[in-house]
Amino acid sequence: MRLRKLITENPYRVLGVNVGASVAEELRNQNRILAFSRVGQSAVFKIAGEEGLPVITRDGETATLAASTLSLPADRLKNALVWFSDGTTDWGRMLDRAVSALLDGDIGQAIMNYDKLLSDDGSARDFVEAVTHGMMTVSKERLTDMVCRILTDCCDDIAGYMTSGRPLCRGLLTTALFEANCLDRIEALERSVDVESDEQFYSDFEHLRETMSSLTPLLHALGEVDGKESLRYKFFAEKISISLYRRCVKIIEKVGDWTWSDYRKGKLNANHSFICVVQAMKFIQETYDFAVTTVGGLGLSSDSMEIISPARVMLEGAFGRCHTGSGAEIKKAVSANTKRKTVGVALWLLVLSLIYCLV
Amino acid sequence: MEHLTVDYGIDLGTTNSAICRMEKGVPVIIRSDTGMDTMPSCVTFKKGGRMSVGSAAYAELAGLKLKALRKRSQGISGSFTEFKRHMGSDTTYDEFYTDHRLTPEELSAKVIGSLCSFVTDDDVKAAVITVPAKFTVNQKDATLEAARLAGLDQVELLQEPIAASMAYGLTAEEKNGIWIVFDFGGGTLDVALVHVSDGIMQVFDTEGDNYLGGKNIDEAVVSKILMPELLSRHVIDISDPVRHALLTDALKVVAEKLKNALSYKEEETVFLEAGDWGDDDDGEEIELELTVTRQMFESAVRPVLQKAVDVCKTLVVRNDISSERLSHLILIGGPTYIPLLRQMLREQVTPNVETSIDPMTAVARGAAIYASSVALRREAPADGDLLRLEVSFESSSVDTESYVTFRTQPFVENLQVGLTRVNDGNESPLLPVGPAGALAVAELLPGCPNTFAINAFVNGVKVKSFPSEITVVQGTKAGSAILPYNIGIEVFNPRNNKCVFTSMTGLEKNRPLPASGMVYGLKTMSDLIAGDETSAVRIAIYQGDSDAEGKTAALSEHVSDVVVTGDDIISFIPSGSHVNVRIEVDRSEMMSVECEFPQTSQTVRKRLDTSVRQKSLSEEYLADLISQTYSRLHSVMDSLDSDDEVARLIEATGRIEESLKAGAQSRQVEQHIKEVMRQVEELETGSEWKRASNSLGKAMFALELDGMRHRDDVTVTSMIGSLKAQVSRITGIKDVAKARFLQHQIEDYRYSLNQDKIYRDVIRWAEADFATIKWTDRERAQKLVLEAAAILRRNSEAPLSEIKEVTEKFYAMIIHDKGGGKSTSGSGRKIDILSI
Repeated sequence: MRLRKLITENPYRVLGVNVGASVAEELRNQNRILAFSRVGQSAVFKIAGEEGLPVITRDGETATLAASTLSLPADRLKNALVWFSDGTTDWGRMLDRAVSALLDGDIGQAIMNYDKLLSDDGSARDFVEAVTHGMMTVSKERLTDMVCRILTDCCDDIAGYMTSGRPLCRGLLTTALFEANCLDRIEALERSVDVESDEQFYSDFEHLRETMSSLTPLLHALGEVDGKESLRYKFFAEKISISLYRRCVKIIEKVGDWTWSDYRKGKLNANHSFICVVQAMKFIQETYDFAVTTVGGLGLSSDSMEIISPARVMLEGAFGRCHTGSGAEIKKAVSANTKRKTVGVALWLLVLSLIYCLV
Repeated sequence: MEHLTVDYGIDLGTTNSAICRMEKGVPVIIRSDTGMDTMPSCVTFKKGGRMSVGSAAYAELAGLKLKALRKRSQGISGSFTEFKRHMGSDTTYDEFYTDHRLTPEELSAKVIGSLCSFVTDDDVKAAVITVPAKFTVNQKDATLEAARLAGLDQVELLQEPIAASMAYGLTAEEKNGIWIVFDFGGGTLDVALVHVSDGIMQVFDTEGDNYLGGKNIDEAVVSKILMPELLSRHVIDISDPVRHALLTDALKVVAEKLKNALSYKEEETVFLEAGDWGDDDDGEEIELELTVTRQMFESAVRPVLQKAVDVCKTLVVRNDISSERLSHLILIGGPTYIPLLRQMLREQVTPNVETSIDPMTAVARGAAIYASSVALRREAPADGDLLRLEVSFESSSVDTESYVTFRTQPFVENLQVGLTRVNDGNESPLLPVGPAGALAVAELLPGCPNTFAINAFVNGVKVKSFPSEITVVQGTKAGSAILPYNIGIEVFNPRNNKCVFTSMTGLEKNRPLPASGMVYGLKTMSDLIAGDETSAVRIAIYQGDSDAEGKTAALSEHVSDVVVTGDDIISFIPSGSHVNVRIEVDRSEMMSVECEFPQTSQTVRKRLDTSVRQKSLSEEYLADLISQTYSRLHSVMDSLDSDDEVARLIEATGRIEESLKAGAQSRQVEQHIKEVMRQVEELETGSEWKRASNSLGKAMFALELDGMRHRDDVTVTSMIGSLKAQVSRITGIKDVAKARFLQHQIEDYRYSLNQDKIYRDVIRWAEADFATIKWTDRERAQKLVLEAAAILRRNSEAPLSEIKEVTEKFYAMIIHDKGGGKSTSGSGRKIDILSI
């Protein structure tokens, strides 16, 4: 909505010019609008891009405000980025495609076309020159930042778009948008992966799953934007993998401690039924599989795998210590527990009866 | 004389003033009573209260100053000059003969009145008066006050460089390019960048110094040439500040003549006649005959001129404009006649220095051109037969067509209007004027003023109308004046516990006037009780330069306070309430303020009171400011990697301190020291980014050096390229956190590139220092170290795969100091490869 407003109420549009129009043309149109409005009439202009847009008011007040908005070169650039050119230049055609895409709600296409404009040194320079009439020079990075801010401020969910699974084109703008909208989230979510929790292990695991379900798409997007060989991607992927393994280790050990008092001797911790123990083992397996599958899906390189291997070893160790997939072993442990319990009860009954007899 | 527009322009200069009038689209200088284009800005009083203004006053000036010197009494001189420099302050001048205290505004009013009196065929009641671009709002208000005292009913102010560019643009053949207007007057310096496109001129940035002008050149001549020479020949005790001031004052008159002469001649002889200058301390008559060469003069004034050139360079560098892109540098003001200044500008700024325009009258001409676009607020002549028309049109245009609208109030039935171009008799068709008006298109002849007679017909009968004609100048168009400062308010920032300058959106520096700006979402800090005049909210308005945002507000120029009291509201407004502030600035930069309290739906509107004259500042206060600056600079020096910037600012502070001791105007010293203090604050807050940026730059540089060893490895070169691009991006947006993060990444990558070398260094170090290292298991460690060393002896460049395992094993046995002593390799990096 905001973006649409930015386009339909663009000061260039109000003045009846396309991006790249001369100072003389802007002034001429402004005077025309003022003159017409003084006699109760409305000036009409034929400019590229107006078709299909809602009608706007062009009067003395709006024209003066538009001219004032376009008085500073930086503001001219910002507004030029969301209005149409006359389509006669290379930069103009790229700009037009980007703005049309914005109007159609196709963020991906808009980003792609802006990226083309920004990445082409000659076009970017010509664009700035045409818009500011030579009054300002702007680096590519600053121009990218401008577009990034416009899209971030006016589009509802850039992060959602980037993590939607749609292919992302690599470029200055995509990277800038990612950094502005997603990087902080990755950092925050990464910190919450390996967090000490007092929660019951099912809840703990669910929270972990939720966190990873938010984090994994972001990481994939980073991989697309930067490339999976990039240092930044590796840095995050490795950190997250290690944190994930550690957290899963804690969960597995928690379940293991709940289940076993001494796993090696097959001693259960409490009067768990067979079904309970089976469920616990299934849960451990699920946790383990979740960690392995998630990390496997990150596409880590061999050197990254080497870096995370100690954490993987810890996971394997915890899994090995706490899990058994053998129903027979579980039955044996449960029976041993039952026997101990029965013996215990029998002994207790014996003691009671002895006491009764004595009394 | 019939006027539709203001038409008169006045250049109220520190040293000289002028008046100009638009006559049929051409600016015509009105000559003074002595037939000159300009008039000295000088007022003198003599016995009996006889007042002289302008040339007559200037003719008496030297004599009066010498009289005051002989009598050793400042007040007795009765002569007043350079009062423009004190506009807006609380300075007063004691007038000895009338026993009256004069303000700078009153003296300026005398000059304005005198200029208007040169117009003998009209009663001047409206004018555009020029002011330096960097004049503060208070100084501008003082100028308006002076105009009012002179009897002008309608006054608009115009910035001097804009006026000058208009004057130049009118006759310039080139209608495209970027110009610099270098206005170096008697008391002030203004530099403006003007963009010209198809004849449309727009000032898009300005810079200046309100205390740098021809008078500073005169002072330099006095202090470096005349005074030393005089003191070398006569015994004169100048420790008495009054005597020193009188002597300097008198010598300045000589210095000014010397300065003017040496602009055309290679040398000039100065004569101080015996008897005129009184006696020295030995009772001898003071006299001097001195030949001053141009070389001596240039040596004395070069620092002053360099300051002026530096202001120009600041403007150009700030806008990233190369000298090739500057098509013209237009010289305005008397001091620009100095050949050395022109040479310095050619060498340091641009070779395209323009000398075709008269630097003495350009500003007045430009003011008149602008005045022709300002509608006169005047009643039509009282004449029952005259049809009063409301006519709107652009007084200048770059197009060959111009719109003219006609209306009548009240509506006149069956009215038709048409235009006849007086230049060639070309007639436009008659148009009916309806209740909403009529819109005519005037065809313009290119490159000249086009005068149109208005033909009005009611029921087919021609009637006389007011106005009866209009003039449109074709070929050039001046944009509006721009805000020379950011306008903002003082807001308390709890994050850094400071009251900082917050600029208003819409009132940024270089915005065209008129303009309006808003700040949303502020909060009141105290209760406002309706009806209680003692409960108040104060909004302090400031004007700040480009570097003022976020800095301590007190380091910017305070304009005025808007005080909303309980008397202004109808219901209670509690502390912490939201308040939105809107400021409107008109073309003369006068402001009105609107405070909206949205939670209680109350709005208070006030006109900003800029009539308060700024108090003179004590030497102690200024010395304290200087002292604070020094101590802050020394504190910030420790936190910076490079102290070049600090050294520069210390030097600048030293120069300001010297100027204070030399008796410079207090406002001048304050302005300059505050500029330095803002830069110090920039260093203090910006040092974090600078540190991060420096570290990032160094890390990247080190990586690039190491990367050269791997230049045949495409993966490595590609990675380095990618990191470099990230550095560039982060440098562009100045994000400290991202810079630090990237620095770690770069260091990690550099480590990974050098890992094999690092491991090899560790092995060599462990072997060499084995005895001094603390081990958990010395025997086992020794075996491992020897094993690793043996690998290296077989192959000194053994790859990582061969040495990694054994190195990590013995490394894990090292007992590290708790003080964080690093086990350093040749790379200097702590080895945390085993920290998982």
